[in-house]
Amino acid sequence: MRRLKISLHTPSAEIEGRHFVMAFTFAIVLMVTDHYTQLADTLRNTLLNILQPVEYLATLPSVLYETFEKTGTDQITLQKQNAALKAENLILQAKLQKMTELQQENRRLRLLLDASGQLPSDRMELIIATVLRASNRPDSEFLMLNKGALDGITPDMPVLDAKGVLGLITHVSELTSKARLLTDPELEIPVRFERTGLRALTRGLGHGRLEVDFVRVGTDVRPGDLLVTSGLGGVYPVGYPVARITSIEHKPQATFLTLTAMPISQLYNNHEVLIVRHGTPGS
Amino acid sequence: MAHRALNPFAWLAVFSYLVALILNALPLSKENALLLPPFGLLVLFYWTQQDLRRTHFLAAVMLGLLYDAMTDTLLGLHALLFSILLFIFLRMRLRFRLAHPLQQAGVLMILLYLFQLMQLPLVYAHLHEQAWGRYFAMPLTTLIFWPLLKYLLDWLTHTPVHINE
Repeated sequence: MRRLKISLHTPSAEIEGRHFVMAFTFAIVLMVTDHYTQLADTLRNTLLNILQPVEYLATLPSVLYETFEKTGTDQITLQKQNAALKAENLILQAKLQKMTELQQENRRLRLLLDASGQLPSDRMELIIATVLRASNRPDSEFLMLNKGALDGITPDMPVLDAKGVLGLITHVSELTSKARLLTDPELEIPVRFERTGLRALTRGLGHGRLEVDFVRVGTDVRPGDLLVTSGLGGVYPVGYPVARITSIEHKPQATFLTLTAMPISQLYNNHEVLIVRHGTPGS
Repeated sequence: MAHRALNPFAWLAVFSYLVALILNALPLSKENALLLPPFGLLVLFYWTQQDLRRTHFLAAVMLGLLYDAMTDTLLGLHALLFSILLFIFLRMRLRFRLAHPLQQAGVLMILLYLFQLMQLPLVYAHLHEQAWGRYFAMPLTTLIFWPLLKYLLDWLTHTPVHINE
């Protein structure tokens, strides 16, 4: 039998101190580099590549549970689900027909207005990705997705769900990617108020909340107002729902209102999400 | 230069770090995940008190970087925190080995409170009312996890201590 022999000859305090100083200095230099430059991004992507097996193995218990649950579903439940899906499919087809009509009308109007005549949906491709896990730290909000560079995912691709904008791809490894949620404090999205057309910027507050910046005091804003993507910057497709205003606060002597909003998308309850890949015009 | 033999359980050490990372990457809700300690750090403490010939700072830095990538924090943050805690732990690892696993868990609980306090300035603004309780309850879970981890790894290594005179 193999036995671990343990020697009590420990490294001297001087060696321990020297190693500590080296580790400490390295960590500080790396933090400064990562905060102020983009130089550490390669290292982060390499680390994400190393972590890919970990990410997949961590999802194994939930995948096994789902498989077990599916096999346990009886025939009557499946028939009910099938009937419900057929009904939903009919409704969606009807909506799609209406949508196609509206799209054509929109294109005609854009041509009349001398715009490009090409809707954003003509130039974008949707990729379905599965959520591997969500962030577990209070100061960051992200989703780990099962699509990476090999699937054509690159940083700065918007992520949507069935209801609205979910976030933005920030880091990509070969097989996985990290999407920062719109409630992350480091993510800002250019939006406009659907009712008034007023432009603003949303910023994450964590815990499923958003702050809306640059709305002047005296502006026509109401609780319940819908915010949609303005398309400024060219990152997010135009007109997708982002959030709804929940509270309006006017601080004395402040130039701008303090607005908070709740995202439209289901931040933590999505199993599958859509990544938007912008194609080349005409593709 | 003195020759240092490889730890015969090097692969077990690597495997235990991998399992620790998987446990921290489990897709749990944010509230529940707040209660989980950094298992990688507990495993690092285990191997530090087990293999006395090394300082384990390289493992601390590498592990810290992987945690940084996994939790999307500033690169170097976990490496820094792990290195500081490891340095404190190195000062007492010989006495730590002699203590009962529950006493050891108590010591590690204090170290994990220090870990939480050191990163508090970063997460302070993002902790809501319920998260505060869970954030500071996390080190208490070491009282359960450490004895389990120690017994499991002791069993896998079968290590009666041979003191080389």
